[in-house]
Formats: sequence, structure tokens, C-alpha cells
Amino acid sequence: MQTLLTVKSITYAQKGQQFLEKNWIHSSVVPTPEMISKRGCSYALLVRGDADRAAKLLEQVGIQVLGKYSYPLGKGRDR
Amino acid sequence: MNGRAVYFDQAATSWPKPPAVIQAVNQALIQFGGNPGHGGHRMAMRAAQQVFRTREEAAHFFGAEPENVIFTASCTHALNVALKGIMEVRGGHLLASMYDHNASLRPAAALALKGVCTVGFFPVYEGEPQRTLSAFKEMLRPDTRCVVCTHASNVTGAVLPVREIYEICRKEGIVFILDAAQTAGVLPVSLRDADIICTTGHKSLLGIQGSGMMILRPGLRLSTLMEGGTGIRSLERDMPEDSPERFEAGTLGLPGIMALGAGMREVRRVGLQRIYRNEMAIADRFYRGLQHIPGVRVVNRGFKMGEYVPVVSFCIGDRDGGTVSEQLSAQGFMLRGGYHCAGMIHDLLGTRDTGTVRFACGRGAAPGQVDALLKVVKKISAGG
Repeated sequence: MQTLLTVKSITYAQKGQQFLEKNWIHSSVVPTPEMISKRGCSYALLVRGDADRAAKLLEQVGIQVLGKYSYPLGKGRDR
Repeated sequence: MNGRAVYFDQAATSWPKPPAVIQAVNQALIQFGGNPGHGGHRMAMRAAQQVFRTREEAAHFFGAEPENVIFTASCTHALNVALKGIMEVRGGHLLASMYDHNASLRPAAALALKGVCTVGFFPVYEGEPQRTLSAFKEMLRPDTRCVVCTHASNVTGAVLPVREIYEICRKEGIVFILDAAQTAGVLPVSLRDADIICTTGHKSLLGIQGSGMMILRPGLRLSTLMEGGTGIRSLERDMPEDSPERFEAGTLGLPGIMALGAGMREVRRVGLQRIYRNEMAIADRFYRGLQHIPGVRVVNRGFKMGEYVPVVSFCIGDRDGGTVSEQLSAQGFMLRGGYHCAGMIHDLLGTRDTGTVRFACGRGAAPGQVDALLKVVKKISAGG
């Protein structure tokens, strides 16, 4: 099960990836698919495993999660 | 380059670069050719990873978070972003030291000319930090919103009492911008010392020309100096609100950024204390040697460990510093002569008519080179 967590920028995605890795959550920095990238061009974290926990961890270090989407893309939601 | 030539102009730019820095530039051009952060394909993403690697390195180096490390083209560029970014939001009064480089003095003057703010300058009493602090406090006004100060003079190497200045600024709610061009990579510099640190990549951090950084304390609000493509939110007209992308319009200079990362890793490997001790020993040898040469005036008011970085300025009689520098160059010694882009310090040093000749050593300098240089200075001073 993979989840796409959209964030504000590639820098936040990269910082988030490092932090999640330290907390044993594997993720990749990916370009946000066009169908959910509303403002044109953005980056996301593709997370394997507990996405809710990943989102909470990211918020703890000041990385705002803008949206959470099941991947491959199905129904998702903006926050 | 002539094998005899000896380079003592490290305060202008460091040379030679460590092999790892040269390798990083090659890698950037050969392996990581994509545009970092502008595109989702593999090459762009791999290039972006390298940029983040240097951001992390800088964050560790300066006690910051990676997202608050902003890459610039130079320290001058960083100071322009910082000064204009802060004063256009805050207005009021800006205070700078008279020992500052034109990299902060000129943007400050431009801001005053445009009516964005008023500007004042406080004197520095080299070797008398308490007197400098008193002068600084006297120049503060109720509407002072920002202070910019060089950490160390690029003319005399004198280290200013910036910790105390920052403490005063913090109590008064004044933003403090530190120009660390002459100290990053030689002395410890971190966000414990300032709200904003501006530095160059190509001096003691051992990176290449065309690189610099602005390091921000979280929560500061700055307007943008430059707007353009950031690789994100392309359909929006406004620049992103968050750093670093807010301040990094356009394509990042990957070769410079990777070189800067390699340079910082090299500085960490050797260690700041060791670097400072070794370089100061060489500069001290030169400083002491100059004292024995008739006709030479050493412009530095002293040269104690902790109070100076490895820079020594001198004059030979009333001779123009640029002319003396040319004579030294003809003898194989590369030192800068003139005013060193420092617009106000010469009024305090009494060197307005001649400028100075500046000795600035770095990695790899040897005592024998200093001794040879002293012989040539002596010969030139004697009219040779």
C-alpha cells in the first residue's frame, strides 16, 4: 500500500524523506502527478506503509502535508 | 601559472581548491547535468538530491534547518537579498559598521537613496570592543529596525564584537545581519550569532566563485529581491511564501553548489580550530616580520588569536598600495593593494590616500614563503 503526501516544495519533500527514513518509514521524492497538482508543478512523498503516522511525523518537524492520496491514484483528499 | 608565484590573496578568493572541490564540479557537469528542482525526470531529481545534500551540509555547519539555507551567487548577492528583503518590509532605520564591505554599505546607501529607510554608520575602535559597543549603542535609534555588521574586517582582519551586538539587537527586537564572508570556514559562525548570516562560498569555505549563501532564522519575513521560476507552483504569479524557493528564482548553479558542499566537508574534516591555528601562525609570522622593516607601517592595531582572522594590512611610506602590489606581483607574490572594496574603514585607519597592501593566507601557506615575501617587502621599502 502506497500513499502520496503532497508538500509545499521539493526541499520540504527531501527533508521529509530524510526524517521519515530515520523513523523507519521508507519514501521517495516524486513529482506530483498532474491530475492532483492544482497550482502547476509540485513534489510529493510516495510513502510505503503507515501514511497517517508519516503525516504526523512530518507535521512534527514543521512540514505541512497538503494532501493525502492513495497510490496508484484513486480517491484522495486535500487537507 | 609561474611555479615561483605565491598566492597570498585568500581574503579575495581561496586558491588552490582541494581536489574534492574540483571533482565535485566535474561531477556536476558530467554526472548530474539536469536542472535541479525544475522537472521530474531522473536527471533533474538526481541533481536536486545533490543540491539538498549541500543544503544539509550547510544546515549542519551553521546550526540551521536545510529549508533556511538559501543559495546565492555571492555574499554580495546574499547581503542584497537580506538587507532589501528586511528593510522593504520593516522600513525605519538601518545601522551598519564603518568596517563593513561595500557589499553591505552600497545596498544600504541605495535603500536610503530610494527612501526605503534611513541609514547610520557606527565607528569601530579596533582592539577596543567595549568602546565599539558604546559607539554602537549611541547610534541606535527608536526606529532602528536592522543592523548589518561584518564579522571580521577584510582589510585588517579585526573581529568585531558581534555576539554582544546581537545580544543588544535581540533585546530591542532589531534584526541582525552578519556578513561572515571573512570568517565562515575559519571561525565558528552559527545562528546563535545572528538572525541572518550572509557568506560567500569561494573564500574559506573553499567552494568556487559564483557561490554564496544566506542562512535565515526561522520566522523572518523578507520581501523578494528577484522573482522568477522556482520549479514549483508554476501557474501562480506570486513567488512561494516559504524558503528556500522564495529566494531562489531561476536555475540554481549546481556546479557551485556541489563544490560548496565538498568545500564545507573538507573544512569539517580538517577542523576549524586547526585551520584557524595554522593560518594565524603564518599570518603572525608575517605580522611580526613587518615590524622590523624600516618604512613599513602595519595598519592592524594588533594581532592576537581570537581577535583577528589571518589578514594583515600594511603601507610602505606614502606609496600607493596598488603600485606596491604590482611590484610584489612582479616578484612573484600575489597580494591585493588598494581599498579592498571597503568604503569607510580607510577614514578610520588613516589610509585614505594610499589604501593598503593586504596579506591574506590560507591552506598550504608555508613559513618559507612568508620569509621570502618579507625579504621582497624590505627590498621594495628600501627603494628596490
